[in-house]
Amino acid sequence: MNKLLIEFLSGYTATNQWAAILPEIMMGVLALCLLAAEMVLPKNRQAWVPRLAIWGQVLILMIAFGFVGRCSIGEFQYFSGLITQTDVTQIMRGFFLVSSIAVCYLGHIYLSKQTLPQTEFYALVLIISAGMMLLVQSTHFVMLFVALETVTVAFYVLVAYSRTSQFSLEAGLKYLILGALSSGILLFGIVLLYGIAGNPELLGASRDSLNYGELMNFVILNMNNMIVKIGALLVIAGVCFKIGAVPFQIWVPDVYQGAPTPVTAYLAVASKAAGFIVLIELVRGPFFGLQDFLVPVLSVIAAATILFGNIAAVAQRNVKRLMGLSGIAHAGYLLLGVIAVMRGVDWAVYAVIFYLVTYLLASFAVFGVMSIAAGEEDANQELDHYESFARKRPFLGGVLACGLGSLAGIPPLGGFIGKLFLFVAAFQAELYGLLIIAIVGVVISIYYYFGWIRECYFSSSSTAVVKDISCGATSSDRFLLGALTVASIVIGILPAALPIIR
Amino acid sequence: MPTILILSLAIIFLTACLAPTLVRYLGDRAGWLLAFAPFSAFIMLVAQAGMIEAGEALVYQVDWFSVLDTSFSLRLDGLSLLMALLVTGIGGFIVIYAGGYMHGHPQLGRFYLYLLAFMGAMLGLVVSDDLILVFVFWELTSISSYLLIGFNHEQKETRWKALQALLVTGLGAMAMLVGFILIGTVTGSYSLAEITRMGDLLQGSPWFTAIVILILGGAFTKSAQVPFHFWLPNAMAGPTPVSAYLHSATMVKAGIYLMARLNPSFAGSGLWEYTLAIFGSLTLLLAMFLGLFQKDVKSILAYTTLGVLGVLTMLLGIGSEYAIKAMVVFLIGHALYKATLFMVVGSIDHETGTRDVTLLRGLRKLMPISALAGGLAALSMSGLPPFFGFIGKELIYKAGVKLNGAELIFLVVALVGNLIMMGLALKAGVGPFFGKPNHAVLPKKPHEAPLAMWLGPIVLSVAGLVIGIIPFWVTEFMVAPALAAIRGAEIAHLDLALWNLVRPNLPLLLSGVTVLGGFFVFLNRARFWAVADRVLTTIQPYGAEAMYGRIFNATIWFSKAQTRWLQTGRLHDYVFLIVMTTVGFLTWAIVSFGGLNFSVDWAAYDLLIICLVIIMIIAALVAVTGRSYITVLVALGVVGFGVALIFAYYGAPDLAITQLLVETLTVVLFMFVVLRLPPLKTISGRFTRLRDGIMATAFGGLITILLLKAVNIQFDHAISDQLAAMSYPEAKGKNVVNVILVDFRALDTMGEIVVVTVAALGIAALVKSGLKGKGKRS
Repeated sequence: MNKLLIEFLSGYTATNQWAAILPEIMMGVLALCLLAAEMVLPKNRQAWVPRLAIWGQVLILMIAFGFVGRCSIGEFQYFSGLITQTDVTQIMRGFFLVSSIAVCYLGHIYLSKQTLPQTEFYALVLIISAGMMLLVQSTHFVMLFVALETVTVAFYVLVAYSRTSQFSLEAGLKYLILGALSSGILLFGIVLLYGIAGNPELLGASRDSLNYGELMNFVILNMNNMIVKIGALLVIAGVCFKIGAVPFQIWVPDVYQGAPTPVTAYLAVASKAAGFIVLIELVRGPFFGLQDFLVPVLSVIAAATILFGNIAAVAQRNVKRLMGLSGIAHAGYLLLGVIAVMRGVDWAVYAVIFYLVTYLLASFAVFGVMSIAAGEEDANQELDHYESFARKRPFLGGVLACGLGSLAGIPPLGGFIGKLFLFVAAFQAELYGLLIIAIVGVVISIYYYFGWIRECYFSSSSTAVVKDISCGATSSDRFLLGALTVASIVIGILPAALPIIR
Repeated sequence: MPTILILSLAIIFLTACLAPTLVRYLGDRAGWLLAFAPFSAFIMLVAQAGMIEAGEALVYQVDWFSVLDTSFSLRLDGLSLLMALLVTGIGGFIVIYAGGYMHGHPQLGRFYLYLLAFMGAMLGLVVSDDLILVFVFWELTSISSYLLIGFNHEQKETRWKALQALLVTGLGAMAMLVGFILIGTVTGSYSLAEITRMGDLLQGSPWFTAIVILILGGAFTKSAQVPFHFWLPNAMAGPTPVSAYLHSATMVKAGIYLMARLNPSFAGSGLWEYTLAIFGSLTLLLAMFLGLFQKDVKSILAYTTLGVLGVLTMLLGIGSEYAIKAMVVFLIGHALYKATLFMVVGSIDHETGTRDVTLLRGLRKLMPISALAGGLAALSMSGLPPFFGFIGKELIYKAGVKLNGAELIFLVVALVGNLIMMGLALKAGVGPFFGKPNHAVLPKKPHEAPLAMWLGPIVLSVAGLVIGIIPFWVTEFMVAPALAAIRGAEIAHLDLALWNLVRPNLPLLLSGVTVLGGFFVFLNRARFWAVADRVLTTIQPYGAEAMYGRIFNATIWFSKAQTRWLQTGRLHDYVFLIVMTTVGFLTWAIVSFGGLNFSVDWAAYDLLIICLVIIMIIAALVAVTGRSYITVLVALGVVGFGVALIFAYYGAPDLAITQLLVETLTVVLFMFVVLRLPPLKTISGRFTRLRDGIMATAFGGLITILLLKAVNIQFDHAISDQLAAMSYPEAKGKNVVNVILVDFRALDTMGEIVVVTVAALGIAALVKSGLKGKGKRS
């Protein structure tokens, strides 16, 4: 072989530092280990599988933290620009690990009530988590798409996991078809960008035209090119599907209702968070030059998302759909932060992350209570089932009230500080119209969140015959839910406890 | 000792947490113990009065979160002290009273938890110096008062009213938060103490109007000013101690407090002063008018509270020294007598089982102590000397006669308001105790309330009398510092002795008119009740509450309607929506960025290709309209083979072969499946088909346009050329494709082989397990 080629290839591989994605690799290995463990362990020891999944992830989380702790803050590119690690991505890797641990735990509660295979659930959750960790780090459209599809395909399976439930199967099919449609839209946009940015006739054309950095330079030089704009628009549309922004939110209520509750939680929290980080990286990176074009588009989407999510949730009686619809509203508030980033308010990125963290804590608390309170038919959880819930289960009622209060943005819970940061960021970005809409949305949200709390605490008669709630919380349930609630309160009182915004 | 502030807050919140446990062990006697918390806070705060009077403020500050420059800072100045003393002092008596009133209630512990949490939030609100902190406590008061109002949650009505209060105040609070953020942006500080010194900066900023409107949105909803007044009488649904507390000292005064607190920065601007004065007087008049027709004692008191809130707002708007002085005095007086009256009414309700003033008569013999307390409070409320209420009313008239021109209208409003208020005071506080007793109509046999229930009323009502006679301590240590804080001026000596006010001048004359008129209203009370139902039902559909109801119902209707339209649950509709939106966005982008001008080079296409395309189009149409599976499949196959031919024609034989193979395979596979399917039927209606046709045409057309635009893109051939050039010299292979597969991209190939192998293993496993299952069954 000639020297030139070797040099060329070694130049290519010089940045292949596998250690940089050690947590992701370990997650993949752990997922395989789980599958192996199921085969090796005897029937009466199968309970070790979820334990292995959870404790394995805790270990990975600790390793990842130690790993991150030793890195200095900065921007590092690996794999010839396929992935880039910044402080944002490091925080988000922890975020996804924590959420997959929580999902595994909720899955454990859920699966104990069903007669479904166990191990595959945890393995898929781990794969998704690894995929999302790579997704937020990717700074190359190929990497983005591969990671995104890893996540999405695994979600197709998880959504339809409850094979015996009609709701779950229907949700799986809907998610599959609409997800494929949106992936198609996304891919079409990527292809257009690839083609136009690789066109040597245009200024700034690049050989590596799917790399964010290269693309960013190209887009800045060709910001009036129509193909560039349409490509960007299609990519944004594809991402909007993941975050559930109007009009790509249409799948949310049905899928959230049909999917097993832990999967709903996973979709609501982690999948949405990944979508937002990707969106932020896109608007800060390749689409940086298109602000004048994208800000109005995203503003319209944000306004419609906030109004739709909140108004649709008002009349909703099924709590899983309610969480889905209110989650749409939260996506709308978060879009405010994204738009603020586009308008040059740099710290809004951290406001978005802060909000996501408070959303994670509150959502998992609520979904945790839902998992425990749910009967055998998981899709059928109505508000009426929660009548006098707090009187029967004071601890779970308290957790639920705190979680919902935080989602509604009631001080002194974490959700309030999250909203405050987002609103201040939106203010600095001068998004006054959107802010007014957001505030109307927040007031409407008080109605339905408190409708639920009211159902728990107030009942139409003091001696109501309470529908039996299947089982109580074990001490480990209490520990997890209590920890989430305490974290929500602590963050609300001392926001500095979360070292994201200083 | 700044730690006093955090200590008094902590003591109340901690007691709140302990309350359920204490009640479990002590029953309703726990109230006496729990009352220690507010009273000890009261004593600790009173001890600071000397320092505050000397013009110093108590500041407690720790860092909170620095990104917004906010800190956890508490500050006690004249105004805060006044409010804090009312909150804790009256609060203590309410805690005791609740033990008697809610005697034996199964959820008393939870009630105390909410009540004390509310008290803590209220205390926090009046002592916080940071705007964000103010908002936090503000929301806490909303939430805890929601829980308190909705405490008797068995009735649907009650829950609806509690929610109404929460939504209305919640809307205001969010507006206020935006106002706060605006203030923070304009002044660069969230500290109230600093903001009140930056009045010029605020008033000069272009945001001033927005700030005033947003802040007033919060204050008006909380203090129930027109047009948000309706929630307050509805909040009567709560247990009586709640009403006594919410409506006398605290929650409704929060808005007044906020306006007074920000007054130094806003005073002097016409916008602020006229808005307050006009809305205040409107509230007063409306409240008095509606109050005339009420028969429920509690409602009467609620409407008078509304009126007082109107007066306070109006006085703040007038803003002269006398007006502010009147406001502070009136605020203290009102807190004392209104708390008393609510508690007395609660006792009457508790002992007789009704609150209907048309039934209640001559209870003074049976309930002498309550009668005394109620009478004293009613006289103070009427503004008769020597009660504290009199001083307040005199000062209002003194402020009023100083007005000029059109502003004199406020004096008239105050006169009318006070006059009716006196009538209502007598109606609620005196009426039930005098007259000919007719106890037979009462649901319960009345007797005097227990100690816990008359202690608070008698202490507070006597306080109203004593302060009226010797006002020195209160005016020097509470009114004067508060006055200074509201006006943003130095603390001055006040001379509010009773004998200084009783002088033959115009204000005294107006007082006389008030007394006569009020008595006249009281005597004619039955006339108003006679027409009450007719009047109230006539105006009801035009009121703000009806408006609220309409908006509320419209939202719910809209929510349900959109669920019906959009969330049909049919995948078909969802796909339609997503595709159409994408089409919409793309069309917008193409049209607005001049994408419709493209050139087609017809010379590049010869007759053969054109014929092929026409055949494919026909085949596609056949596929759509076909009536049997075979026709549809054959038509689809024609389209596929057409594509293959196009590939072949333009010199890509390998692609053409692949396409041909895939196409053949799919058609064959399809055939296998089709044979097992039921016959093809048209399920969708004509409209749906038309709609889908339009969608397909639009999307297809759009993609065509995009492709035509994209054809102009010159793709980079560099890589393929390079690979072709390097394949022989580097890899010694003449077949470029082979070289790419096994040499240049060997790793990719290996990966693919692995994937295929794994898939094959998986299929093998599936087939094997399927066979095993069959074997078992047979």
